[in-house]
Amino acid sequence: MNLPPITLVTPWYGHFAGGAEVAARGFAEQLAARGFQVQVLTTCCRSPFESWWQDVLPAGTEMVGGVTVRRFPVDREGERPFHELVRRHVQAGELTPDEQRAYLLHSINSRELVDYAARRVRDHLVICMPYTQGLVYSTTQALHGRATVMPCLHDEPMFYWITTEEMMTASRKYFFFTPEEKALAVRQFGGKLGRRLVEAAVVGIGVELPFDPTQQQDEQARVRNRYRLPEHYFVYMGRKDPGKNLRTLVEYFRAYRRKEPTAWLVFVGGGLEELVPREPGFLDLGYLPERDKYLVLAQARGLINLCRLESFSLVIMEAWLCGVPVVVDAGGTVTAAHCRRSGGGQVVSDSDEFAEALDALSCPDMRTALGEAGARYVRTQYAWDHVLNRLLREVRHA
Amino acid sequence: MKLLVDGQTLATPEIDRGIGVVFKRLCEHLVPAAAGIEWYMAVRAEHDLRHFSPQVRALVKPVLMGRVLEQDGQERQTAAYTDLLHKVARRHQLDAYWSPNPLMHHVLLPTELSGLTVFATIYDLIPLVLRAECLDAWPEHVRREYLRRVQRLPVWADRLVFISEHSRRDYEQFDSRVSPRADVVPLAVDHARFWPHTAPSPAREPYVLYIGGFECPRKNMARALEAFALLVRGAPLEGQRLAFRVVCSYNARQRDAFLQRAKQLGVAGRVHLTGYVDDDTLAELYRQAAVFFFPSLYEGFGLPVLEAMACGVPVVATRVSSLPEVAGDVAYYCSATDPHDMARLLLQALQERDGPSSRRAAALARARAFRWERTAAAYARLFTAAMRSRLHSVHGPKRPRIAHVVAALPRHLGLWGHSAELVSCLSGKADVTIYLPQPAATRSLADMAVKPLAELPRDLERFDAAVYQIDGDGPHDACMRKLAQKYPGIILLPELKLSPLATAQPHTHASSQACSSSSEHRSSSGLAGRPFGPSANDCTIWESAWALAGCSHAILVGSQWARGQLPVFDSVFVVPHVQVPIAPPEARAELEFRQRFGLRPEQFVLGAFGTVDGERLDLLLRAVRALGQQGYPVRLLLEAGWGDAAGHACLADLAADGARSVVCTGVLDAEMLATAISVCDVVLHVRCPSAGSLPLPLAAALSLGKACLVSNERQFAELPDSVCWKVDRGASELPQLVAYVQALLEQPAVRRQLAANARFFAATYATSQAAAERYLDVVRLVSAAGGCREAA
Repeated sequence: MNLPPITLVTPWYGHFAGGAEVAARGFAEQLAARGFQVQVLTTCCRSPFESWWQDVLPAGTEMVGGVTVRRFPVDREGERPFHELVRRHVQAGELTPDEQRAYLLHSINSRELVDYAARRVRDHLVICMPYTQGLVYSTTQALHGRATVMPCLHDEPMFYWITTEEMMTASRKYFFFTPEEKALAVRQFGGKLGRRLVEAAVVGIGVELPFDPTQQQDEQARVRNRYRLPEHYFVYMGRKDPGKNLRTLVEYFRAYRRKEPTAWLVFVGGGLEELVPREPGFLDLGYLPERDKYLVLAQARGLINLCRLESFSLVIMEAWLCGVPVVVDAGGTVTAAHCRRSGGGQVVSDSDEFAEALDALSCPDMRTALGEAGARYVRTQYAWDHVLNRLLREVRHA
Repeated sequence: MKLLVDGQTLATPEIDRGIGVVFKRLCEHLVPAAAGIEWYMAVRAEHDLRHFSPQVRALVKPVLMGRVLEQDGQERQTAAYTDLLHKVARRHQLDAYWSPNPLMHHVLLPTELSGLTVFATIYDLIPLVLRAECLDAWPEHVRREYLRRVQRLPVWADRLVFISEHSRRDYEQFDSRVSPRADVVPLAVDHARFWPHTAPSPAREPYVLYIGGFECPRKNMARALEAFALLVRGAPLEGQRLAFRVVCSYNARQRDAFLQRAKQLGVAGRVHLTGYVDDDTLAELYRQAAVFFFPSLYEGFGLPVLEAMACGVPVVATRVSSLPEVAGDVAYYCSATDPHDMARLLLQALQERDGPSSRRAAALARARAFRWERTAAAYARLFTAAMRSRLHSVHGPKRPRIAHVVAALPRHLGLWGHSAELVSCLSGKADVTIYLPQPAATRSLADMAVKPLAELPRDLERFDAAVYQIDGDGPHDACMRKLAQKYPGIILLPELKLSPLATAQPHTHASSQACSSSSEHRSSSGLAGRPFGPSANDCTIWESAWALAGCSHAILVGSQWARGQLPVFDSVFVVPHVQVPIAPPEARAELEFRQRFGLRPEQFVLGAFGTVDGERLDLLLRAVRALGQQGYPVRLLLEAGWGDAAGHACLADLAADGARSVVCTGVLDAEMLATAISVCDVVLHVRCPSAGSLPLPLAAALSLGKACLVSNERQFAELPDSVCWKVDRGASELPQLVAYVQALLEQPAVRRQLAANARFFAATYATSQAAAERYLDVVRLVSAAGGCREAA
């Protein structure tokens, strides 16, 4: 298949595993593995949890997972005005259009990268992600309608900023992760951007496990012993962050434990440890090696993710591939829609429904049926071959 | 034409594989599309029809075989089945019988079917060709019955339909009587299920996929396994991680023996038996395979090869029987008996699969040519031509002489467009004279003579049939009706509502006036009406008018639904929807149209054509509003006028609101109408259809290849589900309409496919030629029954 070379532009690459970054890495490596010419343009900043105005990694070219990665120094001068704008935003609740532009331009950015993209990759398909970062905004503006965005949109204040509209307007094509993300974009920009937005593809993100944890009985036992897993447990997997609706999760689970005292909630992942109650029924395993993570997940009765702001939710897909059903919040547009489409989980609105859902997942037959439905959904929609079918079909027509 | 299909296959274990799947696919594409055929199906129980979609179930009339199966033994059952078919054929005046599976032992084959054109589909003669492995291993009574059928089919069936040239040649070698009655219609692949990955992952454990069968020596399993072992041993680089996935059902003994042999060959850990897999799993197995290996010794067609090609996987196959017909020059052909040669070709396919993709592209292109809609269309042509040929030989003149009586000279506008096209097509196949009530209007049409109606009685004896086309209820039509009663012929009712058999509830001033004559007649006669629709837009058949239908030799209507409204009459025939050929407008005309009506390229255009009443207009406007609120940049293009005061009110509201999402064009001429349809992304025909044929704008939209949404009502519901999406009326109508439009706007590939299906349907089934042929069939029948003479 003859395609132009593909360039991915993203602020952090190779050392950080946020949703957009995992997606960028997945696309880059999967395309490269299939023989496509792919490069990644990124910054010398290592992760969003370090300074956005200081280089940690060396500038230059390296190979990461079979992909050429070009790192560029970040712009150093924006830190103070950025923090000033953050302060003003918190105090005033909103920013003027000029302030919104300044906010983005002073967030993580790299003039060198943008210049390189504008001058040196003229014959490439340039895909930028995510929409919240200044680097992406600057690249789309500099490429004058040549860039394609994978915006990873959320219904949040920044989505309604003038910068988002300007970025979308300056882009040539759009790739979305979910139908809900696309619907959000169409609702806001459909009238202005017209056909090219409405006809944009929902490509999704590929999700495949490195091994099948359901077939590893010995290893499951090892993990169970090593982490002293309880007999009957559910899993929360991901960063421990109040924005993930963890307080509600803990409150619901406490209530459930009053009825089912043998049930445990096991936390896997980093973040704020204080969000996990230090009481029976709650177990925080912290970061786990990848293999152990899947083995813990595969033995759970269900994965619970009440976060309402997921743009895709890789962890739900991973649970389904482990044959494990999920429980999600009805207010989580994307996660609830995944459950409706797949039939692989329970959608809850309150504590009572939460308890009913956990009871249902405690029934082996129900658990198996939901898990299998979810696994089928992931395999037929989000295997990399399927995701790249959708992406490449659009690229071919570009 | 009435065709009885043998549906016994539905009750056999074959229904979900092989012949059963082929039979279901054929029926799904054939029955809804071939509107000129009335379908009957002999089934063991009515619930056997559950294997079909609701649309097919609605169109097929079951003929139950219950009593037949109560008989003891196949011989008696066959006799009872034959008897049943004769009775059904007489009762329903059937024309033909199709046995899609005549050689299967479980299926009863009637002994003789005199008076019917008999079709039989032949898949292969494998039991004869591979006699030692198959036929000779069968029980004596099964073998005897098989041979009896093979010997009998060439004289029993009028047409034998083979699935490949090779299977036809096999049969011809066995019995030369096959040749003059043989046709070849290749099978096809379900492209909605078997499709390729654009760039399949090379990272997974590569495997050779093989579809075998332990019960089936011709699948060549032993040599296939040996070839795989040779491949692994001889090519350590390519064979390093290579697995061998074998798709077939098995029992423990067969599995153990096969794995034991694999162990002897040194490939035990690489061989995986999948057991039975469903089609979705099979499709994914094809897509993920490094190579598809099919070293069969004999095939009737070779569907797995076609499925693999459609999935973009390289095929290594034997150059035997029908396989070259399927794979052309895109397969790697190997010896059927030499495992070393098989291994060599497997290695070549593996080495070339990541190279230049020209062979893959060629295989995909070749597979795309094998489509079920094409196979079904070939069957439809075959059925129709054979039944027509029989009709010609039995009934009537080759070139009939027809008096076509019509109130006004046919012209290309609205309903009249159908008429003009039909009459034009007839002129090449019959001697047609047009009779008009008004001599002043008399002028020539194409090469047909046009004469005053007053001369018809004097001329009648010169004709094989008189056809009275009843399009309205005006004074001229009244005159025609009188003649039609005095000199009975065929009445052609393109639109039931406007005919004297029915009286429209007046919904416009014009139609009130048009209906006045029949209203007067109704009040003077005091006869009760027979309503056939619940809303004010429906109409009533008046018993007073039934006399005309009753004395006519035949009635021609535009849809199965219209036919269903006239149940008391025996000779009602459906003339398939007539398309008016409309040339696609030039790009410049589209551009000018867009500029004239302010339609920007980035906006989507939804078209609604023809008269709509207030309720329908309100629905369309609410749908457009809902789409707008969700951000969809749509413009509604409204052509023609509104049928009632509510429509006018809606229009006034629109004007008051300055509704920028609606463009009203007024009535357009044919050329502009074609241009308007062409600029649309989706054409909406969501309304209660009139009472006959397809409206001209919808027919034109299908011909021009547009994605169409129609109401799931009457003749609209008869359109194949693959040709247009159907919106149910009622509470869910608005959300359903909005959801369908959203889906079509968001997915241009779906829109294009729906449009392509529409274009194929219009060009294949709904042509004026097909309608003219059907018309002539009825003329021949009538002519044979006595032709034109004064009523007694």
